[in-house]
Amino acid sequence: METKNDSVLSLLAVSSEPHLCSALTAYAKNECSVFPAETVLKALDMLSQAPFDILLADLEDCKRDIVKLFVMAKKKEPGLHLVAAMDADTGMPEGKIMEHSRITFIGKPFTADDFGQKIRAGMRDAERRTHPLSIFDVVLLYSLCRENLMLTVTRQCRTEKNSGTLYFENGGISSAGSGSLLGEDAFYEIMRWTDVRFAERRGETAKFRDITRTREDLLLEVIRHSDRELRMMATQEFRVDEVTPVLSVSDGSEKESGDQNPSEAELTALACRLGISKILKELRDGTDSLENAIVTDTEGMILAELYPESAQPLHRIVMNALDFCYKQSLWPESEGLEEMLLFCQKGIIMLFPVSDKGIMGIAVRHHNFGLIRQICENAAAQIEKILR
Amino acid sequence: MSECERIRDVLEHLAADLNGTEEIAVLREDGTVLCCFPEKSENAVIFTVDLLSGIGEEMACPEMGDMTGLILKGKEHFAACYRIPDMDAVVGLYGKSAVNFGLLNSASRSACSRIREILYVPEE
Repeated sequence: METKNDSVLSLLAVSSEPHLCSALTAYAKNECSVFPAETVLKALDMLSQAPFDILLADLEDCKRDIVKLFVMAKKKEPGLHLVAAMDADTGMPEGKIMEHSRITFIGKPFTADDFGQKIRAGMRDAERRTHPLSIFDVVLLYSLCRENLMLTVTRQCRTEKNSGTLYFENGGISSAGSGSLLGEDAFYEIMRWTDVRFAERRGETAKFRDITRTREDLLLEVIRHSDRELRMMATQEFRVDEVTPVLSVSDGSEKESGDQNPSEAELTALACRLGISKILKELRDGTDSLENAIVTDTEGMILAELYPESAQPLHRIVMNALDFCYKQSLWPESEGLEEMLLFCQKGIIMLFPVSDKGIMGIAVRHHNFGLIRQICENAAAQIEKILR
Repeated sequence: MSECERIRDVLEHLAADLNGTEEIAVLREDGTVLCCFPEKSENAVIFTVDLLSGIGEEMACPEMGDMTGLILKGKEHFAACYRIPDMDAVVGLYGKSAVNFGLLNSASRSACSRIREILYVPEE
């Protein structure tokens, strides 16, 4: 193996096509040293011997092993810039999907422009480069491999363990399952997970096809979900730092012009959240046995929470309750759900749907059940007024 | 008196104590019905099986300990189930949602203890 010059970037190219490496060398000129590896094994060996700045892998050569290669390489070199080269006519990800991925995709045969615009730009984008691979990237890569396989995804966080399965068929996702969720619901749930482990089983196909949307549609929907959550988080920060004074003016006359000001709908949403947070705080002050309280909308999106750091188990229970009552239809729709009480050894979890717009979940340690239930019912009624 | 008759007696008393309770059933967690009051207690059985299968494990919250009971309240009716301590059996109830839930909770737990006394066979 050639010795690497420290003053220029080092690019490890995994491809059996000699002209791909020639093209890379030509376009990189003096800024990159190109090191070819014909197979994934060879590449892994080279990665273990020396650090690299860019790892370019040919998807046609690596197939599904590209995922393992990228994951292992990222583990070794967190700042490594990953590039996947593939035939441009085999369903290259485009637009938003490409932007959302932490991998740079280039079509073969690639041009000087590709190298200039994509690889160099990816190298300059330090934030994107240093991010670990996400489940989004893994799913995207597996689907681009166009192999039939089953992927088991496991998430183990501090408080819980979840697992789910995804079936890839002919470049698309044909089926998904996680807990009681199936199809697209399960897919979107799995795609929200972080810190995941995964295991593949080649050649497995789903017994039933419960996802019919295309890969692009599914991934765009995932991006939309993620954007919505980010907006939500940004709005929460905005609320704390800047919005409160504006909210005190009911006619919005103090709303200044400018792009950063929230719209009327956002202000209404913020006012709702502020109101709900206030009620939850009053609830906390009114009883000494409250463990946590959250309010979510009917999709499970958190509108307010008392102690965010420990809200996850309660949120999960709210989500499962929503699923149980509304999606699985185990409880008659005509009855509606007015209250769900879950008695546990150390306390009680109470769920109160608030109008048809949300659900309040409360965890309390053992206490005077009648009294605490009355207090919670009052709080739910107040939140219902706000949401209406 | 057979075990079943004794359990039925407990259920009868429970129904009399809880104004609004229409059906009560005692089931093993695998869905086997041990006893019902009145004899036709389809709703109690169906909802208890649903609650156990649909919620059981998924609603578990390790931070709060094992689940001991569950009540679902709708506009007109409620469904509830309580685990009988140390046994793989539950008491399921179905009735009008106007029932006093505090009383439902305490009376059902007391009934669970009595049923446990009837069913429990100490290991030698």
